[in-house]
Amino acid sequence: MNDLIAMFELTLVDDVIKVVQESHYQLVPHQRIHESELRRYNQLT
Amino acid sequence: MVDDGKGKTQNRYQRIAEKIFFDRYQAGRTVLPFLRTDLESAAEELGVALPKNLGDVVYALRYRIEMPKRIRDTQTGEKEWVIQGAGRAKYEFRLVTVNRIKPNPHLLTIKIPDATPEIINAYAFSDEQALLAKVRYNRLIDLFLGLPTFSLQNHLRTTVKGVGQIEIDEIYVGIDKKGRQFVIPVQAKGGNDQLEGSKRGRICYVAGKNFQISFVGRYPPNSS
Repeated sequence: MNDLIAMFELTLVDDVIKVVQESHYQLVPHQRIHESELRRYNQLT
Repeated sequence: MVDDGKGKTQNRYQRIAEKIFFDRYQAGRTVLPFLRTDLESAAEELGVALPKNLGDVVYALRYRIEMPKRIRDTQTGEKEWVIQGAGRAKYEFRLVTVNRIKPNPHLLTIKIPDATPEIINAYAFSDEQALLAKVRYNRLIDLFLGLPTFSLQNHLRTTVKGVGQIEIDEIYVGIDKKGRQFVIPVQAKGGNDQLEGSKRGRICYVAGKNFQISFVGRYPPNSS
């Protein structure tokens, strides 16, 4: 298990389940988050 | 029959389901209603012992074990038979289109500094429990929904009108900056789970080997 967590927000539309949004998170020790990644996250809106 | 193992229980439940199903099934039918008492009469006719908690037969077939092969053989295309609640002590086999929701392999993975207490990793009983704890300690529901949320209760069993008894892994409540309040049911799946029904039995959670999955919904309070 590498602590990769996929999260889905679901809703019902006409009795059918639809995905509203999806995100993938990975839980890591702080040393494994590099500056380049933090810069990238800052550019995302 | 003596219930001395998982396999036998599974087999017993599947035989009961098969009998109830094929007593009602005709080609073309997509809804086959039955009552909780039908479980007793089917078990009696088959000469198999029933568990004390009759609901476990239905619960197992909805969430834990596969539908018997003979039943699956009547499915066509994207449709699958599921068991749904249809009110208190009432159920139905229903042929539904099943959503297969699986993680999008092209989605960016966002790294989060792990705030799970190390001792939780040592003592969590199951993948699902560990995942719920990780989601809670890392405030992933808050991150994901952009709302402050608070864990209210784990493993809530409740009855939904027209559906019957359901179990929700964890309930959060939250509030947004405009004061709107939300009830947020969360279902968690550890890695390697194959198929899992939702409370409506219409969804398959397909987790890859490396993924743990958490599903959340967002509802205003007092909605059913």
